[in-house]
Parts: sequence; C-alpha cells; structure tokens
Amino acid sequence: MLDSRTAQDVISAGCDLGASFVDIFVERSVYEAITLRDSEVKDIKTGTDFGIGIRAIFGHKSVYGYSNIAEKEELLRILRLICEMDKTGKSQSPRSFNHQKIAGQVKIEQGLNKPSPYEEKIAFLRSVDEAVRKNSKVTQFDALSMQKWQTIQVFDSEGLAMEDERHAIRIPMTVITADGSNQARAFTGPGGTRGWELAKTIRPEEVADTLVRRALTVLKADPCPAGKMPVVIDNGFGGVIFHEACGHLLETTSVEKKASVFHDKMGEMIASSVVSAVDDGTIPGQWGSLMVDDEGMPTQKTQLIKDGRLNSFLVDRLGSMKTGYERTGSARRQSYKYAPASRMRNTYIDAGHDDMQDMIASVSFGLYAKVMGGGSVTPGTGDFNFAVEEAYIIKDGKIGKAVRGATLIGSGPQVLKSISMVGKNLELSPGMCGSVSGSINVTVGQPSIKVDEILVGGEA
Amino acid sequence: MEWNSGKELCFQIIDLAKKAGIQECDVILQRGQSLSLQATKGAIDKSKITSTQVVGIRVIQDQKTGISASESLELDSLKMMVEQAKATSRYSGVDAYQSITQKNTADIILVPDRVKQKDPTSLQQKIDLAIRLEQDVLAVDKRIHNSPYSGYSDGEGESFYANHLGTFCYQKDRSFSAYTSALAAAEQAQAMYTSSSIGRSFAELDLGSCVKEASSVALRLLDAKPIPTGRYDVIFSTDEWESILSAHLGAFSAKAVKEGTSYYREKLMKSIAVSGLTMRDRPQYADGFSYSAFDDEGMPCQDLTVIDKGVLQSFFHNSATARFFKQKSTGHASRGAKGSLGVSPTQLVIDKGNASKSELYKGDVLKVIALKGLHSGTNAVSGHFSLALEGVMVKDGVEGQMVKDVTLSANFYDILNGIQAIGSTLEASSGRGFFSPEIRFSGMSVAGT
Repeated sequence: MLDSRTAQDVISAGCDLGASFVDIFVERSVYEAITLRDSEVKDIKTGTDFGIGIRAIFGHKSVYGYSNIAEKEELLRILRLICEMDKTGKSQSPRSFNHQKIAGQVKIEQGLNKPSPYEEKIAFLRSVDEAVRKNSKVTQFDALSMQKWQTIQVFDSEGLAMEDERHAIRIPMTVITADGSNQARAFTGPGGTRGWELAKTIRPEEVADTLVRRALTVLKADPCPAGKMPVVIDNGFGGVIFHEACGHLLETTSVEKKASVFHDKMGEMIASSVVSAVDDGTIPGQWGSLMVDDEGMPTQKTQLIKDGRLNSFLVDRLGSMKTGYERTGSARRQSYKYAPASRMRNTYIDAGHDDMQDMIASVSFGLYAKVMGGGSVTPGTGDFNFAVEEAYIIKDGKIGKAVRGATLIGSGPQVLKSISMVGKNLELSPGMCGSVSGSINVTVGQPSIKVDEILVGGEA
Repeated sequence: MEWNSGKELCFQIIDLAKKAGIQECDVILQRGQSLSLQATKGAIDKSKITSTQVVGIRVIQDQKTGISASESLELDSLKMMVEQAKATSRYSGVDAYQSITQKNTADIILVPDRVKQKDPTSLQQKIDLAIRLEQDVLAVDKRIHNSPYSGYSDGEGESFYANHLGTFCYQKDRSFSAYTSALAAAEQAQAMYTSSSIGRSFAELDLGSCVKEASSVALRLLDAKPIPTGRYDVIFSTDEWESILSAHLGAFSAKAVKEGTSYYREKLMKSIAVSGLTMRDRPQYADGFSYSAFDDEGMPCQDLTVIDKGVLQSFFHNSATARFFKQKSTGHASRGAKGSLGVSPTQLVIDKGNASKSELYKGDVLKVIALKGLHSGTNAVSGHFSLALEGVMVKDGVEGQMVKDVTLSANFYDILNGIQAIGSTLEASSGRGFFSPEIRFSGMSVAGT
C-alpha cells in the first residue's frame, strides 16, 4: 500500500498547483475465480490488482489519473500531467492526516486473506452440478465461485487518511436445457459482502430444483404476445427496472448535467403515491453494502422517494459541489482505474400493503413477470428495455400458460406513475451495475408490484 | 527498441516458471497509456490520464491449467503469481486438448510507421476539439438543450506474447476518437442520439459528421412514433447490424461447438444463409481498427472464410479446439493477461452484393438506427431476439416517418435465410472493426400500435 508521507507529499504538490481538493485512492485486490463447466473444473484464476488513482478538483472540474507504480516520482508525474491544463499560481494548504481504520459490518470467516479451501469450494460446485444433472433435459451447467479481498486507502487534502478492507463473494450458476433444437437457460447468482461462509447458507438441491424448473418452463413456453398490457412484476430481481430506469436518474452524475428528467423535481410527486424507494448501504452482508464509500465517507440509508414524492438524490463530493445537495456516502467505483461517481448500493422499492393474489385477480389480460432478466436504459430519458426470463400470461384474474421471449419496454418515469399496487413481500437480489465509474456490485429489490400498462415485446 | 524491456520481463517470468518445474507456460503482458477529456458548458469538465500494465501467466502441468496475473511488476509479486498459477493448476480438470505448442521461427513484431512517430497534437488542440464538439452540437438548433456526453480520447496500447518454446510476439498501436451527443426536447417529447468518429491520427477525426449525425437524428426522433404492428422489410444501420451479429457470434466458435451450445454445431459445410452471403474474418484488413498480426497463442493471423455463398465453411479455432476436432488452428485464440483461453474473431467483413441503393430501398423499408436492450433482449443460444428500436420508414429511397416505441422480434439464425438483397457498397461500423454492405431482411415482425 502507500505510505502516508508519500501521500501527503503528492497531495501537497496538487494543492501547490492550485487544486482546491486532492484525493488519492489506493487499492490492492486479491481475486479468485473457480469455473466449473461440463462437471469439470475448467480453470481457477487468481491474481492481484494494484493501483493508485489521483484526483484533483479545480473549482467544479475534476481531473483524474492512475498508475500501477507506487513510487513518489511516478505519482507526481501523473499529478502534474492531470493538472497541466488547470494549474494556477494560487497555492492551497492541505490539512494534516487524521488516521482512521474502519471496522467491518460483519465478521468475515473465510475471506481470501486466509488460505483458500479449494477442495471444499469445488465440492460445493460439484454438488449443485450433480443435482442439476439428475434431469435428462439439462445439457449444460456452468458455475463460478468468485471471491475478492479488497484493501483500500483514501487520503485527501481535508486530512482524511483511512484504510478499509472489503470482502465479497458471488456464485453465479447457469443451467441450459434442451429439447431437440430448442434450448432454454436459467440463471441465479447469490452473493454478499461475505467470505466463503456464504456458500454454507445455500442448499445445492434447492438451487438445482429452482434452476431446472425455470429452464424447463421456458423450454416448453409459447412465444409471448406483444402489445400494451398490465404487468405484475414479482419481487426480488424485478427491482432491476427501478434500478436501471429510475435509480440512475437520481444519481448526481446525471442530475448535475441536467441529463436526468428528475433534475428539477426535488420535493415533487414523481411516482404513484403507493411508491416509496430507498438506497441503503448499511445492510450488513448485502452485496451492495459498504462501511465507507470510495471517498472515505461513512455510508448511509437514503430515502429516495417517500409516498411518491422525490426526497433525495444520490450524491458524491463532486455532485454535492455542483448541485448543492449534501453527500450521501454514495461515491463508488469499480477500481482505482475510475474516478468515483455517485452510484447506487442496495436499492429497492419499499414494501407496501397489497397481496400478490389481489394483483393477479385485478388483471383480465396481462403478463406476470416472475423472474426478470437483464436490461438497458437510455441515459437521460429513462427509456428501458428488459428481458423477462420467466413469464406467464394472466387471463381473467388467473396465472395461465408460460410464455418466452417477453421484453418490457417503457419509460422509467412513466412506469413509476403507473404502479397501482405494491406488495408486502420485499426481497433483495444481487447484480452488477455498469456506469461511468465502471462495474460495481449492487443489490436491487422490490416487493411484487402491478404496473397498469407497459409495452410488452414478444414474438407471437 | 522500446519493446525490449517488455520482452525481457516476459522471459524473466518464464525462467521463474521453469525453475519452479513448470512444463508448459505462456505469458501475456499488456501496457497502455490514455487520455480522455469530457466537455460540459464550454469547458473541460473531466479529464483522465492513465498508465497501466498487467502481466499474466498460464501454466499447464500434467494437462491441467493454472492462470494468475499481477498488476505489480515487483519481483516478489511475479514470484507469487507463478506460484499461484502452479498451485491452482493442481485443482483444474484434465484438459487433454489445451497445450502450449506454438513455436515460431522468428519473432513477430508489428509497430506501424505512424506509431513510431510521437503524436504531434498539442494538449490544447485536443481540449479545443472536445469543447468545439459540444458547442457545435448545441448551436445546431434551439431544441437541442444539452449535450451530456461530448469528448475526446486517445490511447496507445502494447501487447506482448511469449512462451516457454521461445516464441515472442509484439504489437503496438494507437487510436484517436471523438464523440458527441444531442439531447433534444420539444413539448412532451425528448430524444437523445450519440455519434462518434475514430481515427489513426488526430487529423482523421471527422467532427462535422459527428455533430451532423447526433443533432439531426436527435431532432428527427422528436417526431418519432410507433408504427402499426405487422411485418416489415428491415435494413439495419451498420452499427446495429454489427451488434446483432456480434450477439450471436458464439455460434461460429469451435469452443461453443465443442461444448454443445452452438446453434450451428451440426451445420458445417451446410447452407445456413442465402447464397449471396459471404462472411470472412480478415485480421490484416488494413482499413480495420482491430488489426492483428498474431493471436493470443502467438500464432500468425490469417484470413478465414466463415460463410461462403451461404454455406458454413469453418468455425473459429484456437489450438485446443483444433486438436479436439483434429484440424489446424485458424489463429483465433483469445486470452487477456487475466483470462483463460477462448476463441474470437478479429475483423469481420461481409462481401459486397450487387443491389443498387434504389433496389435495396424499393418499396417500404424500416431502416433501424438504434436498437435497445441488446444484452438482455437477445438469446444467443436459441437466436431469438426482441428489441426496442428507433428508426425511420423509407419509401422508394425517401425517408418518411421516424419510428420509436416498437419492438422488433425475430430469430437471428432464420433471418440469414430471409435476406432479400445485399448492397454493393461496403460500409464500416463506427468503431471500424466490422465492414458490411447494407442488407435488406424481409418480413420481420414489428410490434407497435
């Protein structure tokens, strides 16, 4: 890692060049990925990422650079390059460091800071593989155990000097079933800010049953009809739509540019009154949880929308400077290769008061999106397109036949206003989120919700 | 020569591996530098300068593979990397087909002349360009109220490959790019479009086209609306055609064939498309920006005809898939410093056809400008895709109603047999890694009003 004297010298040099704020992000990440394919360990990848990112802020402008070399001269070289176009004769004085070491949210028992129990990990993946392959229609099963142990340091010109250790694990698993030339897939990916002990909470037979049932359902499904219709989106990963089509529009990264349709809507009704939404980095062990964000600020629970009214944005340091809103501990980045930006953590629509069966009963013809797939959104407008991995037609208030190839197409802001029912069954689900500061681990979530009208794409 | 230090480092790591008793190994070293500038409100809002290096080793012991990488080039880190690769190889499954055997008679070194000279462009010129892009796009029309993404970037990258048999390859290149976006609004409608330009030199960047495309498409999309549900003949823009094709390229991978996931696994030497379609991979196609002299196993790259007059001629192979299928590698091994051995094409080129522009656009055609949700709305295994689109209805070559809020649904493997006409002019994608004439697909399903 970086010694504090070098950090202080680099920060002082940045302030001497006229920067109003300088920070240094140091990262050392040890990673391991075990891949099981065709019932064999395909490979085990290990390695160490190491690098140092330097950011200088001049007024409202941020400049950033990074290097893998932790030597003072290299860091000063990068600093001078990034400050070249903005340096002034006005020297600032940085504060002396106040050193802090952060204690974790949960005790990590089997992180990568300890010798890796390869036999145990491989045995777990094999046990799911064996359970899945009991069904003759399963043609492929892929499983991955991914673990990371990240140590970070953050130094800044306001005197912050802190160190944090983060552990993360995810176990993505994919089943492919086939019937003749027809194939279907199902995916799950449990994860958390934990060590290998997370795997001990997963029952291989249960995961296998769920995956196989879902893949077989899709395999037998008819093409989905297309058109505008009411859609009931089930809990858990269904929250990906809120994340992509609304959450990103609440990040100051887009608000500060006025690229978000919500940029001037603070305090206004932006959703149906049954909708409240939260971004919470403090939930122990969740995939999107943190102790401190990547600017060294303690994370928090942020109420984004309360009873339909916009209550808060997600704010990082630069976003705060540009918009005037208080920081929310939301500065995140994939690695030292990215400057921090306002990003989501564990984001969800909060539980409501409706029952799932009442939602279904209220629909004469529509879609029940039981398991959502991935999607994308147009920045600024919130226009989205999401695949539904497992879907059923709702007819006359009852769940009917399974359909495949359904996509949900719409606008996040419009959908927020079209949510008429919110269930009690809040559930969270891990995922990856890509944006300006790279790919980060986030949790999405929601209870079951009913949207009165969405354009459904399908092949029928 | 500037690459000597990298070569020494690669063989230093191979020596460490040999001393550790490793039978086969190869090393990939990647180094790069880049600059990016983003303009907002007439000034540079964000800038980034990077300097990166990463080295990775693949070891094979008793037909078992171990992979490890490090971004620190300190000797202790390199020793740990070699030890980790050796240790993890013990737990890998036996792969009788993966072996490191590429032994070249001479080093392969590719440093184009243009890269040997230092980039003469000043930082100020680059700043001016980024700011001008934003200003120019905002000046086009009052309805364009914002340009959230306008900027410039350039970068230089070096790739090294070495193995225990003494094979050494090195390639260096440089690229420049500029992009701008137009966010337009009128009454209740809002639309955004982004355009980019890429070049081998700063002077090659075409700002005028960037500004014109971003602004004109965004403005026209303000009037876009759904079209009635039905079947339409469709022509994709080159970028969107590349996206659709790329999402299904796994079907042409011998690795996917071996694993049983390729749709074309039993189609070799059989017709999979109309007889007018010929598709080649041309790693050394000079106009391309994914130009490659060697693959990631150190094998010299060569052209490969994948589809010839509609007939599937070959899959993409690395040495492992080639051994499995008892044939020669096609030189399409892909592996990053941190990754495992895979297969990928380099620069795909679809042969020109003979349809003139007026023949291509005869009658009613839906021209697709943008597809949304590609990574979620496509199923590469089955070929089904269902995607939202933005586009324009064209009648006898004349553009009419702009289109949005509709979905296009089809099966990729079926539409290759539904090609009605192939244009006679080759067009490049905006990233210049893909080349194709315009292709008219008949009767695709569109869900709208």
